[in-house]
Amino acid sequence: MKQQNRETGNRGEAAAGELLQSKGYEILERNYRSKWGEVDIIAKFREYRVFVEVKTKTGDLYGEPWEMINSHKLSQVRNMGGLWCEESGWKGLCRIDVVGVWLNTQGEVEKIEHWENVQL
Amino acid sequence: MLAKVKSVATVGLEAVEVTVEVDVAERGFPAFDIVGLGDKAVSESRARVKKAIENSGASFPDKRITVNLAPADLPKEGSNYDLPIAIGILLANREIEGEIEGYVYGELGLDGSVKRCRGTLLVGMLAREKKLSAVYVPIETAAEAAVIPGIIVYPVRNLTELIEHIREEKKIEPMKTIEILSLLDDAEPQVDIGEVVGQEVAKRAAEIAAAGGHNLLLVGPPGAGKTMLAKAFPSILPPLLPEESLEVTRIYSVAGMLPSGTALMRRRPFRSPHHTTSMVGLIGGGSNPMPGEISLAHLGVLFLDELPEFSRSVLEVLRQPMEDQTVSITRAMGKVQYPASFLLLASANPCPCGYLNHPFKECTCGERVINKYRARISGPILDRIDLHVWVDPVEVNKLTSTDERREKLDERGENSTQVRERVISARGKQQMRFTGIRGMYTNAQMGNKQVKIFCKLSEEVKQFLNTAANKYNLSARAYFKVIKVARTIADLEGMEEILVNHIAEAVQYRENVW
Repeated sequence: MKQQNRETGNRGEAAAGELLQSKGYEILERNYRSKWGEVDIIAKFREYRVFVEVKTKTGDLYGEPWEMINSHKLSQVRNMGGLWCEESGWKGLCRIDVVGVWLNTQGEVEKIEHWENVQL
Repeated sequence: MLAKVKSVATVGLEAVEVTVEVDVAERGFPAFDIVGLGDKAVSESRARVKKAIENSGASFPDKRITVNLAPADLPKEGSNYDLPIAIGILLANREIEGEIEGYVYGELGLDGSVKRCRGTLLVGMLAREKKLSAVYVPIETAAEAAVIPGIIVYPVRNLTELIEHIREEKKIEPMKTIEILSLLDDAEPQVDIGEVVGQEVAKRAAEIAAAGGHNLLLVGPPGAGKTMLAKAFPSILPPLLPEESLEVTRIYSVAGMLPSGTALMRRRPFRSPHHTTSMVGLIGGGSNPMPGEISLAHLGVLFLDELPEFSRSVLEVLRQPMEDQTVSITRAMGKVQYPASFLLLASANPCPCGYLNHPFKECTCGERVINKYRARISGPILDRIDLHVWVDPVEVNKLTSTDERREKLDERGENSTQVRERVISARGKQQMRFTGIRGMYTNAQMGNKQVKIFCKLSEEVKQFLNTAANKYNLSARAYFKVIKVARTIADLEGMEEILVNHIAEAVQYRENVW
């Protein structure tokens, strides 16, 4: 089961990466993690460093991707963002985006959506 | 970048300059914080400002925005900071280049429209005091500020207009200064005093009350015309002086009770709160203290119909403001002082059934019931009322008489215009008398010090007054009140000196009718 979830996640992240690149985002890092959390994608877009959380789901059950984002998850991404800025020496604008990916039962991308500057 | 926009906070009747400082930082995650002791309405302003900016064709920056309302220790309340905050953000983000001088004041709707705000008059007043040239205020309430000479009032309809104004693309047409005197023309009175049949004594007392701003109590059986006389009372009141009008408007502006588009209170206020009114409703209050009925009646009339029906504790709170002509309300949020120089007009029945001392009808109340009823109006309150008048029931033949017969029976039968002329000329005398004393317009407002200066009595008159005072057991306060009423009666006659007959008439109104 866990294996399967990882699989779904990877597919979603790959699809999200492609979408962002097509929009002109330069991907700097994937799966940046520490013991406090993880950021799926870190990208550069205009004057922003964008921290992207990718939410992937299969089928219609258990709600929509955006319903899986809560303030806890956002603050985790934010803290990780702060850590990354510290490490990389970035002193400019930051932003958190969410990409939602819907997969059908065959594991193909059915729909993909990108929400900029998500705040709760 | 940092931008500063000036705005105004109102604390009671005072206005305080507030600097809205907006910083839009080029680092970190997007955020929008407002500091400076704002209340709920101020913190909710974030949502309104954001949507208003987006819906006005400008872009709201995805950056770290910090707004400070300085001075930071003064509690801010209300939605009037929306407009300065929005302009501050746009300036700080360089969305608009340019400068804005003067006070910016107004609430924003989600569509960017600027909504009416309480206290716009105070914004204009503060601008003149601080020698600022311009104010930007909601179009609906802009007329309030436009009565202040020497400042430019820009009526703002929506955020887009103001943005274009600052960018100098399209200037907002300033509002013309409104001449106060032109506004103070008289509206038609609703009830003419001539419509009140008979009741010459009561009408005379009403005339004296209106001329000198004295408190008046009418006691009589039901249907005698007490309420009708009270309704006709505004029609004999003199018009507001320009400075009086500003004082009254200030209170109504703070209370948010000026109808939109109205620049000034044109007529003397006439407030008639119901007898179920609470203490706070009467003297003012609330966590952020608002003016109560007595302040809304400032320089006008507070009419308490059926005085004994008011709860005793509510009536007793009137004591201090009736003496001091001002009321200070202290709450956790702070202390506020509101002016409350009003003319108390009260009416009452003599007993619960209403027919005590009636010439034809029998009173059905027992002695205990009457005593209990009497006790509802305390001595201290009665003592503060200058004119006590008994109103007899109207004779039936006067009611049914045709106009011709009525003219014969009721020779004086004057209409309000005639009475009002005398009142105005008496007020004119008082105005001359009190030139240079701020906030004093009527004889009733005199303190004991002024009584000694302006109401010199000859030996003969003094002796007469002392005899009367002994006979009627007048208190020290009542003693001075009699002199003030006599002063007004002399003013009505155009006499400089107070004579024995003036005192005699004044004392007559102290007769015990309650």
